[in-house]
Amino acid sequence: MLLPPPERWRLRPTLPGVLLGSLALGLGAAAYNTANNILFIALSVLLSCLLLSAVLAWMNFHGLRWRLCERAALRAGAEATVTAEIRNDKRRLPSYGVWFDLAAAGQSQRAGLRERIDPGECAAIEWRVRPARRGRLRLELAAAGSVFPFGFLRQTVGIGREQEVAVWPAATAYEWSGGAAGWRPQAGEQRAPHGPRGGDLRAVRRYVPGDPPRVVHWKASARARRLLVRDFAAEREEGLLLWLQTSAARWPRAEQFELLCSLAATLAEDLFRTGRLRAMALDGEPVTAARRTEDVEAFLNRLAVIEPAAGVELTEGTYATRHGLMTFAPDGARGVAAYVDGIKTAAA
Amino acid sequence: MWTESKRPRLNLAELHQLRWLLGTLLAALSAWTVPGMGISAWGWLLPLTVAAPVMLWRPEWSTRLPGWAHRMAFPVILALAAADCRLDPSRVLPALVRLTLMLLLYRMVTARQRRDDLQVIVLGLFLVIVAGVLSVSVLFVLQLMAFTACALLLLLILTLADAAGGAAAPPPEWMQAQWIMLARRVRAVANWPVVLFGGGLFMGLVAVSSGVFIFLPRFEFENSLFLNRLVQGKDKTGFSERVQLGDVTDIQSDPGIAFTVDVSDHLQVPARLYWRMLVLDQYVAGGIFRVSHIMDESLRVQSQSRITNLNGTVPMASGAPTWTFYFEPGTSKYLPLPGAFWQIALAEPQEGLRANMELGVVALASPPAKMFAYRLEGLEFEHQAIGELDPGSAISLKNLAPLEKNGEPGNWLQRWVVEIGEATDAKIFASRCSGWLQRAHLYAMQVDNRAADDKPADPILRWLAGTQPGHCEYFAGAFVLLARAAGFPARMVVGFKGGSWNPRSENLVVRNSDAHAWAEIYDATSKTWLRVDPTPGADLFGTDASAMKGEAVLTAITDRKSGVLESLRVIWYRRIVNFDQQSQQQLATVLQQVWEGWGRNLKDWLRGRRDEIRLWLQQPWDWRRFAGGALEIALVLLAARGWRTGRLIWLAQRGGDPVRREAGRWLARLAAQGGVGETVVVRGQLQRLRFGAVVTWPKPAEVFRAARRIRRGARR
Repeated sequence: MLLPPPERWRLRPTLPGVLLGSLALGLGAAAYNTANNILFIALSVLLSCLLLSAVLAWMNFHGLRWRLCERAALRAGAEATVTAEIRNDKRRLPSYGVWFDLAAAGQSQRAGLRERIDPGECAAIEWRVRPARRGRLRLELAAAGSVFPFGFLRQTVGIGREQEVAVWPAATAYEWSGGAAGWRPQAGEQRAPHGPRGGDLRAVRRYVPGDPPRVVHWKASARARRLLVRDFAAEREEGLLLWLQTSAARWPRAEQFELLCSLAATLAEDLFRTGRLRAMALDGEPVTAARRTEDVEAFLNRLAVIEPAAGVELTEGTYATRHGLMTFAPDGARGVAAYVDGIKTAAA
Repeated sequence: MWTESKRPRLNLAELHQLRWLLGTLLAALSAWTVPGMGISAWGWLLPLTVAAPVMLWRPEWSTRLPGWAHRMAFPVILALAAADCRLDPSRVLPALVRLTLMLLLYRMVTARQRRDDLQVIVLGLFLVIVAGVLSVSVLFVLQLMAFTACALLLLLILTLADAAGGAAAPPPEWMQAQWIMLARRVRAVANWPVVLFGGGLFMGLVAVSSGVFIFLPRFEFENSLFLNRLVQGKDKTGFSERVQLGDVTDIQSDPGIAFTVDVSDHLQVPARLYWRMLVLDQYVAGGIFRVSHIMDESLRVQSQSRITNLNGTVPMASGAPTWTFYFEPGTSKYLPLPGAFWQIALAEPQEGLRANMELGVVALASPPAKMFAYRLEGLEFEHQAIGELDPGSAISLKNLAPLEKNGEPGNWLQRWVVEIGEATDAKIFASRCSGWLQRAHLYAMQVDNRAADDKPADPILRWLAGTQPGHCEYFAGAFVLLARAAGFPARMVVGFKGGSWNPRSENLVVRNSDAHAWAEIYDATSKTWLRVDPTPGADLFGTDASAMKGEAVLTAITDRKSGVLESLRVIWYRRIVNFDQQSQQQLATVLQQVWEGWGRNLKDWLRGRRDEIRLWLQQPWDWRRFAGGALEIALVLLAARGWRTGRLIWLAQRGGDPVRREAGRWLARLAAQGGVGETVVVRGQLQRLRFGAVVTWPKPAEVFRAARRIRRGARR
């Protein structure tokens, strides 16, 4: 009994396949018209080639396994690599010339295996993705296909394996104009400088993943035979609390709100990288300490999807008692400024 | 992209080198099918043959053709093809073949992209198929197989090259090809399991093609187009309407096969075989016999592929021999007929087919350019004469006047007739005349029959006047002239005599060396034409050897030296070229019989075993029989256990834990069972067996048993 192909499985002729089919049709017509067995032989060979092509195409896919490698996040406007891992689980036969379609943001990209995958081996296929804006991006390994072995038939298999990733706000250039923070970049310097760390050494503590490498106390680590880092007093006492208020009343312009997100994200990363970020807060939510990279990434994930809040605007009194409070406010019609303890520190 | 493979791979340049090699080979291979078509195309074939090794030696030369040459190439090729057609509009196919060769040559000497390689494949396929159709040669299969292998490999390389990065921009680096290095690389890279698998697949392709060929439904439309009409036959030697002294001897010098015959019953092969082809009723001075206009016009055009001899003497009796002829190209346009028959069936409808069943002559429009198959049904060998029965309407009698009765030739003939002696009966005259001829002349292939003043000018009369040896044409020609001079209507017949039996393929083989000429004389008493073979060594009326029949005949004519290739050719004709709806039905019947036979045998065997067991059980029981029975059961159980254990060991040696594999199989089987009750529990246990740590395993046998129980329950 003939069975229909499984759903999302397609076998379609390519242009050479259509030509071959037409050739077989013509040969068949001539063979039946003339009852000439030479033509019947040629027709039989052509039909068998098509059959062989279909069998080999099936075998090529048989035993192939694939997965979209997990990816934490992307950044708007920045090119990133998305990887799929392909494994050939067949015992003896390699697979050749398989391509995969990645659908992202309504666009499809194709990348293929340039070389064979031997039995039991793995290969990776990479796509370059550049998300246009922050948010959640759905990456879908939409389909796999191949014209192996003879290019007569295009075999495609619908995969539909999806993965949703956060797209962090785009990095933005900003101008550091000085301020109350312990860290003092030169006036007019753009982006976060990597200046000396302020404050005295308070203690030496154990390394926590996310600690910058430069704070590792190598001598103490060597003596203690474990990784120790220097704990500066300024880190605890002078670090900044980045507080982002997303009130729609404050940010009525969409592009200004996007710039706010970009500036907040950029500052959060820069400050954390230089050890100046103590914590982060979003509107009235609890403060999140910025101890590890994951803390900052979680904050950036929030920034990826945040929208102007329609609720009552919170005043700075919420965290007013805190020292080193970084807040944001519109800077003119288009710009955004960051203030530390009410002093304008950065502008974008 | 990255892979973790450790085996070497061919890089893109090497793939392109292979592509170039295969494309060139494919073009050369397909071009060399043209000589088999009988089409004159050496002007393109030779450059193409030279270009193939040159372009393999220096592939980079393919990029040196200037741009204007590329632009001009196709217009020039088309102009040449148009001129070719214009020169001889009736020969379209040769022009088409030469056009194909031109295109192949162009593609061979220029850098090819993917579409150009595809074009080479299509053009090559066209040539191979046309060659096969025109030549019907067994070589076609070899050519087609070689072509298919090369073409599939080329397509595979194209696919891999495309996947690896596509076409390289000219002038590419890959053109600096070093074939020996490439061969080493291919050998190093070759994955032998895959190569063997590919070889197996190709054999599978051949097998599937054979199956498709056999089982493709056949319909008889009786409507031929065909390529043969587009190409005129080659200038063939062989029997024609005009036979001059020495023509038959010339044919005899060719040892090639004239035709082969499949016989329906080899025991019915007669001892004396005369394959009658052409009746020459008019003698032209100078030793030339020819078909008269009257006789030629008596051949009526036939539009059917099956001609029934409605006026014939031979009704289609059951068990009457049916012989299938495979007539080689170029032998003649007249078909050899070994006796009277009821019906002739042609493999293909023939335009311009003419036949006179009363005369016993069937003629094609022209000598076939390829093997021509036909079948004679209801053959009758006992009748000596095939020709017309009614002398009143006998066309031959009107044109059988003696040669210049009153002139010098007539005088010579009358003198010899007197020497032979008067006779009123044709048989008696034939016997006396043959004896007279054979007493005066011996048989020889070489005849010295130079003109002399004291001898007649006509070569046959001159030969009669002397005592030189002669060959069949002299004897038959002289007999005809003497019989006519004596008042008996006579005519010359040409064709073949005898043949050999090929024991390998079990068929008759008649070679050109069996060509022969004999005579027919009209017997007014029986009102039939009698065959008379006056050549020394021949049986005059073909009757004395009739005592030899059946196997003795075959033993006498068996040719043990028949080559394998000859047998192969006959099998090719029999099983492939002549395969038709009837053959398909016969094959289906045979397969059905074989299948039914197997079924019957199996049923009988089972019934026999059942009876044996029943008999065994009915015998009186004692302790020995008990013990024997128990031992046998124990042995069976032990064997089953051993098989199971061996299988598990084998599975373990193959890699992977057999329990995990078995659990995986059961998980797959239970995948569609839904998720309630015991199924969920068992599935969980199976998953633990499949993926979990060994220490956490439940008892595998119990889990598998439970899975089996669930599956059985689901089936109910």
